[in-house]
Amino acid sequence: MKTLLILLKYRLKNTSFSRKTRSRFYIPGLQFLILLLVFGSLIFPGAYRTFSELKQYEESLNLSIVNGLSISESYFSFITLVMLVLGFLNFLPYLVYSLSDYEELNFLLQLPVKKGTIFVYKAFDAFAGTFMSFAIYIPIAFAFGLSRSLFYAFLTLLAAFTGYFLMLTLALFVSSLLFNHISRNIAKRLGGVLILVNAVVFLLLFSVVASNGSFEAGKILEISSSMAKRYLPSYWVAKAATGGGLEWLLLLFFGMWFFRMAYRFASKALFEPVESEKSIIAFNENKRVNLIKKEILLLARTEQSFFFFFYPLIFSIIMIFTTREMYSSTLVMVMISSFYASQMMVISMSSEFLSWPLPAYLPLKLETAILAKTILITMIYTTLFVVSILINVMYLDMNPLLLLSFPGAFMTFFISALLGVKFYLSSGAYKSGVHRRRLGLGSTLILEILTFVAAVGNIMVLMAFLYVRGMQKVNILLFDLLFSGTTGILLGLGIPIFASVVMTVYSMKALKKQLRLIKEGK
Amino acid sequence: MIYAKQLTKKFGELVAVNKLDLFVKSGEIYGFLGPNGAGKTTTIKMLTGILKPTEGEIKLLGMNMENDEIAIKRAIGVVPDEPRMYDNLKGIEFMQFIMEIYKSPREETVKRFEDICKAFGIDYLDKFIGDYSHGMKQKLMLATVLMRQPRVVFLDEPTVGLDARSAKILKLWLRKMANNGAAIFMTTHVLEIAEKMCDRIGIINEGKLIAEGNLEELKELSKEKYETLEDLFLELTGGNEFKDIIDHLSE
Ligand SMILES: Nc1ncnc2c1ncn2[C@@H]1O[C@H](COP(=O)(O)OP(=O)(O)O)[C@@H](O)[C@H]1O
Ligand SMILES: [Mg+2]
Repeated sequence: MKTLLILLKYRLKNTSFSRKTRSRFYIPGLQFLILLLVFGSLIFPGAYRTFSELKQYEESLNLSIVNGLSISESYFSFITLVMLVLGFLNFLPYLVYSLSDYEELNFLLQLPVKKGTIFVYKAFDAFAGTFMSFAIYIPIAFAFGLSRSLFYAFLTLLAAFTGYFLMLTLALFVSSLLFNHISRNIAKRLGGVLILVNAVVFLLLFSVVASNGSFEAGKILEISSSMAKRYLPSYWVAKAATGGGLEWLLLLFFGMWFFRMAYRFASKALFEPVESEKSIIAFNENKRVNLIKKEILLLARTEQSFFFFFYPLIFSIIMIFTTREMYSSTLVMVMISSFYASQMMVISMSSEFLSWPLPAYLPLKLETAILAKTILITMIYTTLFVVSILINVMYLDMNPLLLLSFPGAFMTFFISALLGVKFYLSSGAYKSGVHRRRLGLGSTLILEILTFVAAVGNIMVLMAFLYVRGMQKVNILLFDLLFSGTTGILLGLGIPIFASVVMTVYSMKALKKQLRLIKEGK
Repeated sequence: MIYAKQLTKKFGELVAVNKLDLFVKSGEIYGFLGPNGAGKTTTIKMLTGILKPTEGEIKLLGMNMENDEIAIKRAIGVVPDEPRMYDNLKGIEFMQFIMEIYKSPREETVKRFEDICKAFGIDYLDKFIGDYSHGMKQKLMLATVLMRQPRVVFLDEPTVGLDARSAKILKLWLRKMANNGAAIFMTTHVLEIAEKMCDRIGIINEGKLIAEGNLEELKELSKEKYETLEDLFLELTGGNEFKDIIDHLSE
């Protein structure tokens, strides 16, 4: 226990081997508290009112109890279920990441610390990254309890903690099983996919809540009571919160059991080096790994890829179906994509420079290698853009002419990607010993602004122009004013071309300068 | 094959490499010996074209970096001090990538690579490089350089992290390549290694080449004043201040 505290203290103070950049004024405990307070003050009043009203409603009508839970209880159990699922989806990928961080793990294993302690420490580490759903859930649980009495408020809090603990141990159990069966590398990539899944679930939930503000209360209660199943941990939490003894036992028993199993599997899977089976070199498959193939392999194996590539597309699809409006959904997509294109380049460049000076010795110009990456990433985002436009054309009956905007998209992503390279290099992150995989906050902000300018200057003007040209009726007055007639052609094509040329020249020049600096050893 | 004249590199005030003259001919293994921070890595970086010299001239295989960068890079092989490769590639994929990008003749390269792997005991090619230890990476790096049979080879502290057996094999392999006409330039801070592996040794300290010659010549030089070559090396590199400590330790 004492060693665990020392490790945690060290983790909170030290940022050098966790590559996350943090400000100097970072006080971790305080951050959690503030988050909890903010969420608490936002969520608690509404939740308290809802539960109080539900309770009065129950009492006045003497409503029947479904599956052993009253309406307010089944509602609380439903919220618990949602929060636990969200928490699980949130926690698992972080945990997988945290457990597949070799550098830190190898370092920790050298310390005179028990493996189990390291495992628990890693779990804490991951929990810190997923505090959000916890901060939302706790005020709700407190509100539910307080709508009965102060005593129940504390009992509910206790039950909520225990339920949350059960969820965490389940995630620990799942991840330890995962590591037992697949390599750390694959686990890491799986973590990337899970993060995307997590983001999509959040997004869907958010859009459902946002678009159905008038969601009938009756409907929710109906769903709640249908989800009040005796075998669900959320049911146990609701029961335990209202004084159920058996449910307390169930929660604690499964929590402990999952934890024990996880502990056991994890110390086997994580901390014992994998026996390298003797492998015979297999050349007969005649595989060729050229420059592009190498880039594709590296990209496909970067954990962040799934997220950075598919999130913009999924986001735009959800927007298309919720807003049923093309221009804004495309705008958001292009903005996210162009920023992500630059971020993907940062990640991709850092994997190249982690192997420095190897890239400098390859018989090709560094510019060529960088350009290969840039083009590849640009093409991927352009393709995703075209897919999104196609969906618009098919489901919103947009004019197929809009597909002609793809050169604008290409240029936007190309410039953004180049800017990503430029900022990566000028941050000095390539220097051995630094190896940052992310940019500082300042550079990231500037990058965000510049990629935004690129997006607006290129694709958004072009789209607006095509909008006006491709449709008889336009309902955005400004577009109509700007882009009709001959001056419209001049503006609609001129601005994107001008923006492309200027920004390409700028980023190319900046890039060349950085490459020269590297050669001079600065 | 390797030629440098008045090679100088300044990092601001610090003169890391100071007016170095070097010549390594075909068939020769040249050992560049010096203590930590002497400027060995900086010299290799300049010779191999990833660092621009502040002053001086370099010729490799009769070509210079300005005009024939790609041709030179294709002809030479470099094993840097840190064996860093793409962590997310498997060993075998990395080898295939190197083969493809250098346009090496397939069959004989694969054949040589298999031989080297056998000799070094490389049996982890289907694993991700990110999972390798330092020594495993070093061996893979060596294998992918040696399989190409470059005519000029640079090795920066190649024996660091290698087990005794692999070091021995490396020595034999380099000798074989030299016998076939390659010029080999390797750095080390360990006198013993230079003694064992190299035909000619240059001693560098604080950026300056302070003695050069084959083993006999260097021994001759040391006989006048010192008992062993080691004493000469220590004296030349300013280590004599520590002689008392060393004597004390070796008692
Ligand atoms: N990029 C750099 N910037 C500033 N100083 C450097 C740089 N690279 C090397 N040096 C300095 O040059 C000197 C020689 O370094 P190096 O060539 O790496 O020595 P070694 O002989 O150990 O390989 C050292 O004092 C080192 O600190
Ligand atoms: Mg060195």
